[in-house]
Order: sequence, then C-alpha cells, then structure tokens
Amino acid sequence: MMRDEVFWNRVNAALDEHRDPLADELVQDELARRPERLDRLLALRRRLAALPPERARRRIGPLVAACAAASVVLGTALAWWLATRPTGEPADGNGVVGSTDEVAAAPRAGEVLDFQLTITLERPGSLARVTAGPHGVVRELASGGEVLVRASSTIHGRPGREERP
Amino acid sequence: MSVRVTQDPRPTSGALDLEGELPMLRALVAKLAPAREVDDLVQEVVARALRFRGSFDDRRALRPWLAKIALNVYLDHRARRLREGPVEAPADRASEPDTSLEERELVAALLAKLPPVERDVLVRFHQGGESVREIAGALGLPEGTVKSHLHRARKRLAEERP
Repeated sequence: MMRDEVFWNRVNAALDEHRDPLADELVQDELARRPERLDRLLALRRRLAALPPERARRRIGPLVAACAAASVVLGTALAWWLATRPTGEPADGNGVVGSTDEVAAAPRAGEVLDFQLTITLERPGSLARVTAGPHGVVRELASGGEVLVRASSTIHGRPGREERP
Repeated sequence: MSVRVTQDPRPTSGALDLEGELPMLRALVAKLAPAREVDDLVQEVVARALRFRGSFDDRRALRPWLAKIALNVYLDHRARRLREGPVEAPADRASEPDTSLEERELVAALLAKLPPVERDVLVRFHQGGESVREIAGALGLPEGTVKSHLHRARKRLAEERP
C-alpha cells in the first residue's frame, strides 16, 4: 500500500503539471484501496479553486505599468501635437484673421475635433484598459468583473500655436 | 437497486458479490457526482464490472477493484460531459470545484494559518497562473524550494478541517 507521503507526491506531481490527480493511474489505485483519501483530495480541489484572486491582481501589475507608460507617451505626443499643429492660415494668405470668436468657432483644415484611443489588455479574470481622449487619459484595472483601480489624468494643451513675431 | 450475477460463467468462488458492495459504491460515487446522477453512475459501474469480470483476480479484494472502476466511470462521465459542454450549474456537481462564499471564507481562514511563503507560492501558482520558475525568480528561491512550499501548502489545505 502506498504510504501517505508517496500518495501526496503523486497528487502534487499531477497538480504541478496542471493535470487532474484523479486521472493519475497510481492515484486511482491508491484511492481504490483507500477511498477515504478521496475526501481529502476532493477537499483540496475545491479549496484550490476557491483561492482568492489576490495574486492575479498582482500578476497584471506589469500590464498596468505598460499601460501607464503607454499613456505617458500618448499624452506627451498629444500635448506636443496640440502645441505645434498647423494653425490653418486663411486662404488669402495675408495672415489677418477676424475676431477671436471667429477663430474659435470655425474649424480649420486638418483640425482634429474629437478623438479617442483605447488600449485593452485582457487576461483570464482580469482586464486593464487605457482610454485616451481629448479630455485626458483614463486607466482602469478590473478583475472578475470588479473594477479595482480607476485613475484619470487630464492633459492641458493650448488650442493652437501662438503667432510668432 | 438489486444486482444478481447468476450468469457468471466462472466457478462459484469467482462470483462477484456486487450487491454487497453497492453501499460502498453509492457512497463513493456520491462524493464525485451530483445526487441525481449517482444511480445512473452506480449502474454503469456495475455494468462495467460485469463486462470486465474476467479481468478480476479473485485472489484479491473486490472492493478496490470496484472502486477503481467507479473512479474510471466517473472520469469518463466527466470527460463526456466536458465534451458536450456545460449543461448544469457548477453547484450541481458534487466533485467539481465549489467557489461558494462559504467555501471561499473557509479557504481564506485556512490560508491565514499557512506560513506566508507557502501562502504566497500557493496563490501565485494556482490563482496567479505563475510557473514554478517564475515564482522562484520573483521570490529569489530555488525552484525545488518553491515546489516544497507548494506541496506542503497543498497538503495543509487538504488536511485542515474547517
């Protein structure tokens, strides 16, 4: 008869390889001889399945870091673009514009009126999403349907480049 | 349920006393399968035992032989069910992982009793999906040590009573 230690070694070997210990021939033999061990094995399976997902959250830490880095790059690029984009001078070429209201109200050629960029990283049981839009960057981290972290930042940019002397 | 094995062609000494083993079989199958499937599975165990009775060495005990057949019947049944797709609620499966609130609370209490490193390794492996190598790298431990922690933690988790 297999000693207790040997039995659990077989069970552990199967679990280490993400196999079902119940499907292991020697484990089956032993359970057939001593069915009372089945209770402990089934209890172990249930309890392993009920482990808290804390580590799963920690595991997606690198993903969050990647999202944060991506959002910083994105924000920098957006701020740079807002500061340096073409101002869309009038067609007559004299460089004279009317009132400031006119400038604000009339879309210029090449002007981006609205945009949104979403990066989603999904893993089983967790999700990280970064959304960049005209009002800023929003980062969300969710696990098992529960939102764990939601952070947002706002990018301030000037509507157009100042006229240079 | 009654089982008569009067057609066993082997000598009387080799006849299978399946009826006497039915309580054991029912108890075993009930641990594995939902209550409403127990009768069907026990019948299947009996049918399989009769079909393969020629392979039974009557110098050995009948009970372990039957218990092994029962385990295989259950595994085949489960594999068939997985192939066919989910047709029942998880809570209806006696041996399938139960992640009810009660079970999770129990596990949380059991985890709290584990040494921190064992708890860390266990959760990383089974919930975080990290490999032994990754855990070893993250914790600065040899892989063999990580495995030892993992095995001890599992054993404690299995043995601890609520």
